[in-house]
Amino acid sequence: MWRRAVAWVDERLNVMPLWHGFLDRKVPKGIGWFHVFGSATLFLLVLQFATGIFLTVYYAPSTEHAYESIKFINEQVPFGKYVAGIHLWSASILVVVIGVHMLRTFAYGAYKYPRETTWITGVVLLFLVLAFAFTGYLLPYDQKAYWATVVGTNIAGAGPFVGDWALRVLRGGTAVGALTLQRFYAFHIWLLPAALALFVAAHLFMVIRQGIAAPPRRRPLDLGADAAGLPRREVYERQYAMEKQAGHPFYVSILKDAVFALLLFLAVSALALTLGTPLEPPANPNATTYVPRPEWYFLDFFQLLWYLQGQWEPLGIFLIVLGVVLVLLLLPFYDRSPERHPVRRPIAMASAVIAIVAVMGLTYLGARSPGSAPAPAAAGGAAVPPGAREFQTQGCAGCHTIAGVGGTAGPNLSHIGGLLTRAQLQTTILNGATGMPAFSHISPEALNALLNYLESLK
Amino acid sequence: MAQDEPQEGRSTRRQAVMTALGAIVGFISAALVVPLVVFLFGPAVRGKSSWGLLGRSIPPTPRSREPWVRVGDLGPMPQGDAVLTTVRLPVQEGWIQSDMPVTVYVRRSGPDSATIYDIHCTHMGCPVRWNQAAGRFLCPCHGGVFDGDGHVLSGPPPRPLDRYAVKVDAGVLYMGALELPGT
Repeated sequence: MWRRAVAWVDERLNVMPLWHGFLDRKVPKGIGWFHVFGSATLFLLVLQFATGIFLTVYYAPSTEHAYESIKFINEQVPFGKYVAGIHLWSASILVVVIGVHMLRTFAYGAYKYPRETTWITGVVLLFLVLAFAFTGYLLPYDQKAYWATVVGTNIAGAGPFVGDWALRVLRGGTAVGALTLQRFYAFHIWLLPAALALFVAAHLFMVIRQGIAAPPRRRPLDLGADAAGLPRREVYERQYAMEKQAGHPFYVSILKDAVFALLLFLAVSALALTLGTPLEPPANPNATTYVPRPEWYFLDFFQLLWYLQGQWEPLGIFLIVLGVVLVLLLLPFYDRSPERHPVRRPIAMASAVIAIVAVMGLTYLGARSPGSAPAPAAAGGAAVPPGAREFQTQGCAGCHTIAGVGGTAGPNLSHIGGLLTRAQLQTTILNGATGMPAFSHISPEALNALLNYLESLK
Repeated sequence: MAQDEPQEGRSTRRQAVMTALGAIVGFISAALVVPLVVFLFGPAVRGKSSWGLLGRSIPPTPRSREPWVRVGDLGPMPQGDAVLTTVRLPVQEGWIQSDMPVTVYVRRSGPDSATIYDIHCTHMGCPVRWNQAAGRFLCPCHGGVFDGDGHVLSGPPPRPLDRYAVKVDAGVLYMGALELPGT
């Protein structure tokens, strides 16, 4: 029955040759498990589209109803927790998978001739996905959504020249509110998906048109004596033909892609079913005890704001963002050496490692920072020394860590009693130091208690 | 018949068609894209209204021309402490008019004087917390610290806490527009 249906269609459209060409074309040897991340990205994007479209059936993009509608999806709609959970968790996993996909492409030097355009469309796709993430998590309109958007749009607003303009375009007005939510919804549901579809199509067209890059070889293939002096394109074509000759049909690789997609699907489903979509309290623009914190994939950037200070900060942020965009986008143009093997590209590989360590380090610091305005400690029992209480109430813990608890902006004070004398401590507290405000208003009793406590830390 | 044309004739004819096609597509695109982009960027383009007034701050645009909103009697307020107070501000957000609750810090500085601070850190807009024991506003995000008068003591904030205009009339405190740097 199925065969007859296919034959009926094919008699009219003659598409089977295309299908066979797609499946049976040879791909170079060594296309294996490292290559599943591209198709995994596509798979997760499809999951996003599928679940996202259905979420709009219940979701209401207004400040009055957004939060309750998400709550309704989570609690009342059959499979609501599952559908919303898949949307949320596959987005997080998508960011990781894209990162690995880019690293694989980078390590294999696959962005080099003739695949520069594939890399560029890929970088555009990365930023589109980040834009999806940023616009998407305002939509539940909970505390995290609201405050992360306040901070996120303010970062854009800090940019030189176009900052104010960008801020208002993003917010749809001056404040984050109904207009912002409406606008982010439009971006998230219409504009970004349209752009994404276009770039995914272009990216895939390039991948299929050019074939998958062969894994790099330490020793180049022997192209024959007459290869010297041939134009670059002909050398490449001869090389790639040899790689394909030694390779296998594409349908062999596709099984690995399918297995990996299945694993991802199971992982996402498990996360959706167990954790669902955690909601914070509804957005409250008037909360003064809330500690704004972005989604984990923006924590690195959030943490970076600790280190840029003063009048040059806006320019610094702008240059860092512009730098990251340009470094990624223009990679194939400033790295023009034809060498593709990672072992022979020590500088490129070292740069990648530094970038990974920086991103992971900042994310880690951002994740473990408790926020710099600790709530005054609860009264505490007799066991808590008065100085420790003072350490909390004066806000010291916002920047300083003692015994693993506290902020990271200032020095760790866990052993400060062994490092500074009481007089030195007193001077620092009363007069301040670089990056630390003077606490000159402190009462003598509080100061005394604080000094006793700090001296005892050895 | 086209295929009977000499090579040269066909290519000039084809070129002419392509040019015309390009002109038509270009015209339709421009006539569509320019209005669509301006439509999208409306909030930034409409310069005449109060859009630009609030710059990088958070509170919404007040609706009324009468700028003074009653905050409360000054009498019972303690001096020196910054008190969180919620004021209902008539605001206009696009097509929505509402009396929006806006929370501010009111700090009474004398028998008939007070300062009203916006709760948002001037760095990235996180809500600052008043710490009574230290007499400071602490930002929970990146270590910004302001003294009781809103001046920056440390951290990345580029300017003091934003203030609202205040008026005291017969012992009653009124709140006005947000005063922004340079205004």
